[in-house]
Amino acid sequence: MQKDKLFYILFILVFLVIMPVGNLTGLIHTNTMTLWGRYLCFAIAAIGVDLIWGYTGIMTMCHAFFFCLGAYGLGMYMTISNLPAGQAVPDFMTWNQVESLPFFWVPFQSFPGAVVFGLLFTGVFAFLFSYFIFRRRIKGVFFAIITQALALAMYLLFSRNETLLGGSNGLTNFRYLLGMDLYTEEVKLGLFLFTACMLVLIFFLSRKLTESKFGKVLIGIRDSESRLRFAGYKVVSYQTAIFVIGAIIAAIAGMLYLPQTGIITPGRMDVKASIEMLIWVALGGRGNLKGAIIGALIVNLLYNLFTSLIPEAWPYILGLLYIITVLYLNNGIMGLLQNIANKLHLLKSLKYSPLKK
Amino acid sequence: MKYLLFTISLLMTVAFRPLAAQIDSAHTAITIILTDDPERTGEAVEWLAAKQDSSTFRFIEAAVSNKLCNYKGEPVSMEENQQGPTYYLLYPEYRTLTIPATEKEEVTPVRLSRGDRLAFNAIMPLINLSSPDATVRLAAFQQLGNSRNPQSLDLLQQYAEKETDPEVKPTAQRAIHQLLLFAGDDAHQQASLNYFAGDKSAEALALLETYTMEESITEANRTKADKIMKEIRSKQRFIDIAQNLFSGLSLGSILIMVALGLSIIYGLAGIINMSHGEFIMIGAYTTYSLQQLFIAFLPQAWLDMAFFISLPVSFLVASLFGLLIERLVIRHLYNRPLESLLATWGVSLILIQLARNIFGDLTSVKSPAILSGGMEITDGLILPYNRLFIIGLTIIIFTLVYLLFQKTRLGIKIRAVTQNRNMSACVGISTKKIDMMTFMIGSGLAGIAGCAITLIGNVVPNMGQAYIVDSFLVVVTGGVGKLAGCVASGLGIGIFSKIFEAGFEAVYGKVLILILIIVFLQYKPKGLFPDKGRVGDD
Repeated sequence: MQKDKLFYILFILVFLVIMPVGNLTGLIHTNTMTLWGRYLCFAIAAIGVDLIWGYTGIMTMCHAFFFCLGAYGLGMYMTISNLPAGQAVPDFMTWNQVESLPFFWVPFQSFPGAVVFGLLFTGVFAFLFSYFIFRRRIKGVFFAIITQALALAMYLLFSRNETLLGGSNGLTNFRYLLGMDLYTEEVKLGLFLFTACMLVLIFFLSRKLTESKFGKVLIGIRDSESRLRFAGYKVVSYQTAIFVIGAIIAAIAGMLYLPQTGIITPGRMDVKASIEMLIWVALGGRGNLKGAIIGALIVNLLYNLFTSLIPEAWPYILGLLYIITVLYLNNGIMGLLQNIANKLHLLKSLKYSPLKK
Repeated sequence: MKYLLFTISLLMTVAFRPLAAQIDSAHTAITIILTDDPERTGEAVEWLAAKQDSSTFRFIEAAVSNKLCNYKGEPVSMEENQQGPTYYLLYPEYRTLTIPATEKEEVTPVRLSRGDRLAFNAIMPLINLSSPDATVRLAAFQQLGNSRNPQSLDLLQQYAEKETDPEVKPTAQRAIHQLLLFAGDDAHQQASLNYFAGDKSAEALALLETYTMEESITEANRTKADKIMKEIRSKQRFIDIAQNLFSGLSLGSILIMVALGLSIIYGLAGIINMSHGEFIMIGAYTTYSLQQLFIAFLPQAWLDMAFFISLPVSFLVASLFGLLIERLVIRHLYNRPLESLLATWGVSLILIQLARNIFGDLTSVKSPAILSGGMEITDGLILPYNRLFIIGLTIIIFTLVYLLFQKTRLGIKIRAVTQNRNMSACVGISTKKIDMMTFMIGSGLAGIAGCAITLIGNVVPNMGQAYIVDSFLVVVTGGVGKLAGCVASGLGIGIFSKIFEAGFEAVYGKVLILILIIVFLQYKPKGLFPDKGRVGDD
């Protein structure tokens, strides 16, 4: 508990005090802030993955798709609201000979509509998809493979022009969100702060969830699904519920991500992106929400570092990261820290052990 | 006196000139053109164009395409190719001509003026019809068929009878009937319709579609044409279905080859090998490298051999890579499927980038000549040899794997370890060795699949990714570690994919397949061939 508090204080100090102050005093460039804002979005998504995979033991390989569903939901609103005066539909629709907004764009014409429908659609989709799979007790590797196929199919579907979601170019060209100019420094800083606050909020809510009875059942499912079933729990409901919650968290992250990047393409939801989310959590430490955040930040920081220095080397580094994490860091960085702490504690206790005296 | 002499000489010139210009044989005309007398060339050209003597056609062809040369008063043409120039004598007979290297200087090009070349235009179709080049004849027949000029009919019939090339002959017949259909009287039109009723080709359909749009045709003919079009369309629908089934079969074959390895490895060791696709890539690049070696060091004629040699070689190379990866990474992960999935994904990233650094982005392998072309089952339904080869290869490979599993000691051991690892170890089977062998076989199978895929696609570093998700689905629907399930679901997914792709877009086909599999798993959650009995999960 003591260490947890230290972690929270450090986190809040860095992201909610030092960085904003640094930005306001001109020490930290606004681009850096936006970059970190994006990483914080990934960290939010990582919390969702950790709830599903780390706590419940269900490996999901389509989480980037849910992330993108949120981003596309908000993106549709922003595309419509940023249209030049007099233009009824975005350019890519005109090229496809579509003159009026397709029906599935209509709910996204207003901001509250976009947020509500974006999250609702993600939730309903995740519910239907996962319920029909969990119902038949398909789990583990089979579930991973099916979600992977879903990610691939959706990636292909969103890449098509005739699905009217911008094709492989995605949705872009936004400048204003609710009347705020996204190009100004104040708005960028504001978005960063909002994202950091959302991360804190979602983190504490998720922690509450994992500490509740519901969370204990999830861990039970991870460790022995059958025993829980024999004890009378309806495992399917728990699995479906946590899958939907994780998906909605990812969609929220996607919605925060979009205004900070200004573009969303199907490339964000391919199989690769989803598997990358798994390595964030695995590296940080499965079943540890702090670990998920740390893992997401570290991997993305490394990505930024290597792609700017030696782009060729990044696939090697990432590949090695997967292998090393799996082979040597079974409980991730948090597990490693715990181990070290335990050893130190052991040494300390040996020093003062009555046997020695 | 001076004037008188001049007048006489002038008179003589005028008087004798027609004599000198008298063109009475093709030989004279050709000689005149070759000697390059501008005034008389025009005459000679006109004479040749009017005469339509088939022995002069090759000469005219060369003259029109500006390939005509003069070699010691003989008309020749020259074709440049890899071995150097080849010379052809054009008149009085058409044959190749050997000209010693020392006399090459004496071959001088003869150029006709544009006007003279245009003078031959009228008889060009005729010349092309008798061309030794089949593609030129084909084009000429088509051109005359499209001309709607009834006067060409005799010519067409005459040359269509002479035509012997099996590829050109149907086009020649079609051209005759096309002419009859569009330029003939009612009897002609009916005869031609009868012909097309038997022809049933796609070209015939296109012709009839144009024909029924004409306003001048009789009602009876229109009904008849409509009926024939209907027949042709239904025949083509049948061909489409057969073609789709066939490409589904070949896609399914590849999926089976890839999924066999995946399924065996997962069944034996609980490893989900995400880098399995990269063994396909390794097999393909082995094929590519071997072919490059053949091109560099061995005679041209051996090139076709490269592909067939690379089948076993790519098995070997891929299985060695498999061994390496098994020793380095995978042996630590036995029976931890989810972790193995992540680690092998890392391996896959590294292998793809390695291939990209070594080979660059896009390369392709030349298919052996034996496997180009296809087998024509009926008119219009062609089964390409390369796909037939892939299907045959899969049958052979599957039989070998089946025999290996059922009839050999190694197979029995592999099955034993798959069923109960601890018990097998107890009775003295070295499970470590079996793991290694199985992993090598599985990777090698993917390598062979990669070699086969080079027949139908490019070789790119991430080519394995295109097949890997589908192969996983094959394993899921077929049931883990089941050879029969692998075949059934591989063929099922392959054929359904192609049928959906034909009915919808490829992308929607993929989505439909996924939905179908989820629905299927509602009824058979453990795949087509689940393990019998009850096994505790955890």
